[in-house]
Amino acid sequence: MIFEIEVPVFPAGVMLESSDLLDTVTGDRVPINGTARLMLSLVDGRRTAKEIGETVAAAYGIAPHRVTSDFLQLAARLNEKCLLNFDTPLRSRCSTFPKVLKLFLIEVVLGQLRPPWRRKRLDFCNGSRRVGFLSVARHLSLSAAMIGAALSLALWLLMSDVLPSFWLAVSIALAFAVSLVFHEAAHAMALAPVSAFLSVYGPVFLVGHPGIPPSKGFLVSAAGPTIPGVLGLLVILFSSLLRSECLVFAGEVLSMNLLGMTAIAADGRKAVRNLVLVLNPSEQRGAKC
Amino acid sequence: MLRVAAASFVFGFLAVGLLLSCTVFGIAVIADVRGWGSFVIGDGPLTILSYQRTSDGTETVIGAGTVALAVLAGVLNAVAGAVLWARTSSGRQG
Repeated sequence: MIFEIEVPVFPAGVMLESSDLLDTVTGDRVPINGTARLMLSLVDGRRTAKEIGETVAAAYGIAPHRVTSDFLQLAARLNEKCLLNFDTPLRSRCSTFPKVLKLFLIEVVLGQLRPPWRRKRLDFCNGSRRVGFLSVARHLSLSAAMIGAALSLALWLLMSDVLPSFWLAVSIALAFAVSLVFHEAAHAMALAPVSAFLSVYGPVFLVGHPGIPPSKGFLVSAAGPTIPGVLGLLVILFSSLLRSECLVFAGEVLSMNLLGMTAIAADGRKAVRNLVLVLNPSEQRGAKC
Repeated sequence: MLRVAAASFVFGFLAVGLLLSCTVFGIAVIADVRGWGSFVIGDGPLTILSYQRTSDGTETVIGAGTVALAVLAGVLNAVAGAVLWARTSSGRQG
């Protein structure tokens, strides 16, 4: 749900052209009509959705609330496609929080579970492996730290007998955060120097990229779960030298990434599909991942 | 199809095998640090971990149960991979 007081803004990699929206990273074009173009031409990172709706309504001489409602629907669809972000000021965000919470609770009661957050696209520099790694780490560290802290707190409350120490909870929180950052950074490193963007959807992070050959696709899919997973194995081996419980739990969290190579995870399914395309050149002709 | 199943088996076997091995190793380290007594996880040929505290120190054995579970995970992953591949192929043809 997107509210009238939110401020839409185009991500750095998205350009508004005369008859379509161009994603300069993936090369995708989304055709738009004249009215949608007029609405989107008013997106400047300062106007709220309501102000945009009112301006367009004045130009066409129709009721503002109807245009605003249409614009909110368009904005929601573009946000779903990672073509529009919402850069809402903290004050406005605080004022919408009760509405968001109310809608979420109503949907829970009705049995329609829909996450209350929206997608945010973060374009980052992926010119080399080092730059890609650092860019991903810079963009995701804060979100990853918050998610890690929340997960660790939940674990600490649920399993207080197993995790009696505060420092164990801290090490698990750090491990969750490092795991999330390393997972996406490993994808970006394998992808370099191909341009890419990060899509942050609540606790779900994704790396978006243009079509790549299956061999590279396999490396990109496999790097995410494998690099932090192997790092976790090394941390656990190291824990026996230091006799540290904190390192055991941290290593365990990191090594859980290895499950990403199985069919239960999207990365594992993509890795298998790409590997088969690499091994079977007859199916590979013109295939892009 | 066979290649998908084989690749899925290898990925599943390695992922679960490595994860299980390091989990068992981690449990042994925690048992050592917390001073736990002797215990066994699993039974007979399907023993996953055997931790024995003796007068000389401790003895940890990672049993064949770990390999058996990894093989089972590999087989399940191969089946899942083959089913997903069959669905994708039929979707492409249809």
